[in-house]
Amino acid sequence: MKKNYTKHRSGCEDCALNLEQLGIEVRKWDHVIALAGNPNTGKSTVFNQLTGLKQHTGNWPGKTVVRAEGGFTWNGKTFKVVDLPGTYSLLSASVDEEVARDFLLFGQPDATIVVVDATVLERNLNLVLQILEITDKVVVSLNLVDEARRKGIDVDHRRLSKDLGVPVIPTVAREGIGIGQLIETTDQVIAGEIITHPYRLKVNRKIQEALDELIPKIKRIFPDLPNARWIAMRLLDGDIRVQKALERGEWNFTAGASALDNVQVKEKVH
Amino acid sequence: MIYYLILLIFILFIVWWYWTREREHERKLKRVYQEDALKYIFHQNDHGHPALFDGMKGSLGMNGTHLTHIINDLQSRGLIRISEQGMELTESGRKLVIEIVRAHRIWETFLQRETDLPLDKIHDHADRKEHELRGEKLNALDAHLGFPKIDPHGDPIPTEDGHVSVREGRVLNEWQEGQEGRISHIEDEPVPLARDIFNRGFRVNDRVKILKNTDQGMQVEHNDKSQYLDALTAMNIQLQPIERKEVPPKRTLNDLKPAEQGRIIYISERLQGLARRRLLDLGFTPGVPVKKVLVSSFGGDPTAYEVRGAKIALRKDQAKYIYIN
Amino acid sequence: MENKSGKDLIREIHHIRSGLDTNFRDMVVEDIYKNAEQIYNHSVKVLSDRKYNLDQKLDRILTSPVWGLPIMLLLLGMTFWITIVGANYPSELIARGLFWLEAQMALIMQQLGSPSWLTGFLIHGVYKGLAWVVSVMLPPMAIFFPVFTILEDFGYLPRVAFNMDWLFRKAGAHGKQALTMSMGFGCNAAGVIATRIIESPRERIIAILTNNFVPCNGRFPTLIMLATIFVAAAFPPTLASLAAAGSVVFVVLIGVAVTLIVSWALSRTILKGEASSFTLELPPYRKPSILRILYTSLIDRTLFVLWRAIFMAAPAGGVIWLLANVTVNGQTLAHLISGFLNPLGHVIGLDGTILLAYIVAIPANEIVVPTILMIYSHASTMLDITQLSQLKALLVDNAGWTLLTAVNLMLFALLHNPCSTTILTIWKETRSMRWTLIGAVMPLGLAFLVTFFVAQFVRLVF
Repeated sequence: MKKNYTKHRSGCEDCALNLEQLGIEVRKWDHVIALAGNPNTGKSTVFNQLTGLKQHTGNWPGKTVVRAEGGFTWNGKTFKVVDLPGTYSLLSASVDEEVARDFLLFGQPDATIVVVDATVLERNLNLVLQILEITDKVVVSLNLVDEARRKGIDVDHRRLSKDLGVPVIPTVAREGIGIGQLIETTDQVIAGEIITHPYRLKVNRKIQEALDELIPKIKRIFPDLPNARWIAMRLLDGDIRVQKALERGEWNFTAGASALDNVQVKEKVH
Repeated sequence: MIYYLILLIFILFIVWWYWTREREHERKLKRVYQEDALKYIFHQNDHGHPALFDGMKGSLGMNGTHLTHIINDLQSRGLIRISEQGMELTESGRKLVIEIVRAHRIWETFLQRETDLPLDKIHDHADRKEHELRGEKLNALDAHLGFPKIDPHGDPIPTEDGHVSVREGRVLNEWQEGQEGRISHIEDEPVPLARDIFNRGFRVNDRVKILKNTDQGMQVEHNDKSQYLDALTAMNIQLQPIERKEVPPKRTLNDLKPAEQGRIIYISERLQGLARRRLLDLGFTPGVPVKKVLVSSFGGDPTAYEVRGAKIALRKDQAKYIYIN
Repeated sequence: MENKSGKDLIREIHHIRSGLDTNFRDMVVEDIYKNAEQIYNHSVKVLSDRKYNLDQKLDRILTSPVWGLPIMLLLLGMTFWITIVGANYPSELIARGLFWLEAQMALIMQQLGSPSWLTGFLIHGVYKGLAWVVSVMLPPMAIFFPVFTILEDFGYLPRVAFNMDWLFRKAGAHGKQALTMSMGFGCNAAGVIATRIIESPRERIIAILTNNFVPCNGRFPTLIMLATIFVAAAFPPTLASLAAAGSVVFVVLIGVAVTLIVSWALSRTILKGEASSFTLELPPYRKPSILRILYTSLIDRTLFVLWRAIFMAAPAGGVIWLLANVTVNGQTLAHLISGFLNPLGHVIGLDGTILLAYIVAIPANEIVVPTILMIYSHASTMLDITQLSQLKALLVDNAGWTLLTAVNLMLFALLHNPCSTTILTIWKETRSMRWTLIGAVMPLGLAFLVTFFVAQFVRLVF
């Protein structure tokens, strides 16, 4: 196995964690991590901290419009990180939401880190709850906690973690605080050392009845589907992309890598 | 020599291209005529009688020989049945017409929600588009719109499996003074009348209260405005009783004073499509408190609101659809 | 097998859906937010509103009717001023260094016995194109972008969009276009991609088609150079840099005006309609981490410029050398072509050489000025000009430039067709030949039209 060495950075708490940032040089990887979140939550900063890339960040919503990829090595394992465009939701059909939604649904990342802005938590939870319906392997990076504290917003991350049923790690990505713990926790989630119990949306009676009727029917045809409830909701909403995947029976759950290629938006603009 | 050859090939190519285009155009035109004929028969049958050749000739504005060709084609395709009484649709003919109607109404709904074409233009546009939109494309559009049940005129949109629900409501003239109802249908023809009704702000689902009803016309209250409609215009509007007895909200986000807070009741049905979804995604949902925090110096448009801890700027013509208490 | 059951399932779904309300989507989002509210209230306590008030106060000032626009113009002007003042000296230094290197390399090649045409092509063509672009482009960009990024990181740009939206609304466009235009300063291709933040398709197309009217990285130096030579020279030395910055701001404002007018025209003709959806989040202000910005944008810009220099300017340098050295009937290709283009150039207040330079520069706008200088100087290669006074002497005395030439060149640089990368990006983003074509041809037509009228007007009046 390749020996890890430590890269020195000033005030780096990750050094002890054997983090080697690989930039965009990832050819082979052991695990894929998706990075999701609302626009302007410091998602790109988290991405840069993980991969050592210097992706340009800015303080306006929607700064990252194309998917960026990078990687890092940690504890002898190589992780590929996919930075999804920032979105408020996964329900509307805008271009960036489709890119994010498709990757989470069809790209099958091994884990998803959702970066949320602690100062606008309520709005951010909208996206978190949707992602929890799609995938179990989620770690929440509760970012900008310093800013929240300054504003007098006190977030009890333990309680939040308990409610959501997934790990919540407070971070200050700009200063690299909490990144080490974020990686460690994500690794444990991937390895199954941390078992998550994602929050299930409570919906009104009418929707629940429709779902109760539909979910068993979906499960009968696709017994391996990990997120039948979400699929059912999307189908009732008339999500054409999901519907087509069903209609043609081309839902491929094993070929993660090829599915990844299908949804890749490879645009690197200079 | 070679130049002449190239020129010849070029000319032949042009001729071929033009010819195929003409053929294509002709095929399309033929299809349009056929489908229009089917639609005519459908409407006649719908009113309870078979369609007659002469009536059809007048309505479609075609000469007799041309129409005979079309009818023969339709009959050989098994879409219509001809008896002594007149023409009737067969089962497959009926299915085709319903799909055309479905395309027409879905397209109208799409145009109304996501473009700002005036409504009379929408009708014309849909009259052309209904012959092209079919199958998967049509279903995708239907899903994109969230499976609307009625079109902008209030007509029911047939479902994919051909089910057409029944429209409810009575024409405006039949309503008594003092009664209140919700607009369930606005007739799309004659076009000038429809245009007039839409231009005066009447839309399907709006509340209307009858103030005065005479033989010449009627005075109604609509959106806090009193309007006069002559009897002929009124006949083109249908009302249905209001189900819920709630008091209609009067205030929208635009009525908030700076730094004032209100609670959202709901987003008007008039705001549809992308704009509506985006607002919901940002957390403008019923029950949430919204505070006006920043007003643009240029006529207060846009204005920023605080909602769920975030500061979101909206334009006035969008904020006017968000009702608050 | 699965196929069939999949289809059955779809039928099933239709059935279930017909029993639901039409606003299924509304219901789902409402429910998600109800859940979110509950979780939020469970784990979050808001203790005070202190910082929020500071944000609010800043917002009041930055969007106030009295201060909003002046502050915006001032910040823009200051950014340009810092760029112009700061870039002057390093540009000169880099030019000296790189051109010295050129001479040395040519010498070495000669000693190695390389034929003169090869030395000419490689050193005086390819290398020189690269050297020119690096020395002219790098310093201004390495200064402009960090300064601009500080504003961006602070959170100022959404406020600009907020302030400017009333104008965009009148033009039938989206306020977020102000954000995509800001990105256009860096690179129009990036600006075109940034239009994805505009939700509504119609307004997005408008933003894509008009992004070109923001002078990008590659065109800035042309503007700055012309402003310095022709405008600043008319002022006393103490005011010169201010005047140059002022005139660049003025050109940018013309670009904004053209953007608005074209948006207005588009939204009344081929893209008829009113703005359909507008939401703009105003994020909280954040203290920019200045050191990180300096570091990242310096690296960022340096890499960007070098990349362009190697892949775009270097080949173009080779083409220029060939144009200037391949002769037909004793005349160089450059002279033949520019002579042919001269009448057209004259009509729009420019000349054939400038037009030729623009044709060569389709892949990279950066090399317009170098090409022009090379042909004027009658040298078979691009000139070594390290001082602006030499440059002015060449343009005015040798090539007969007037103030009109300078003004029209600035206008042409602002308006003309986007570079090939941007055109390609427009196609990628719209997937439509029609919009790509319009995006390429419309600005070019406009550039000819405007410069034509300016030229005719000036010649008539003065």
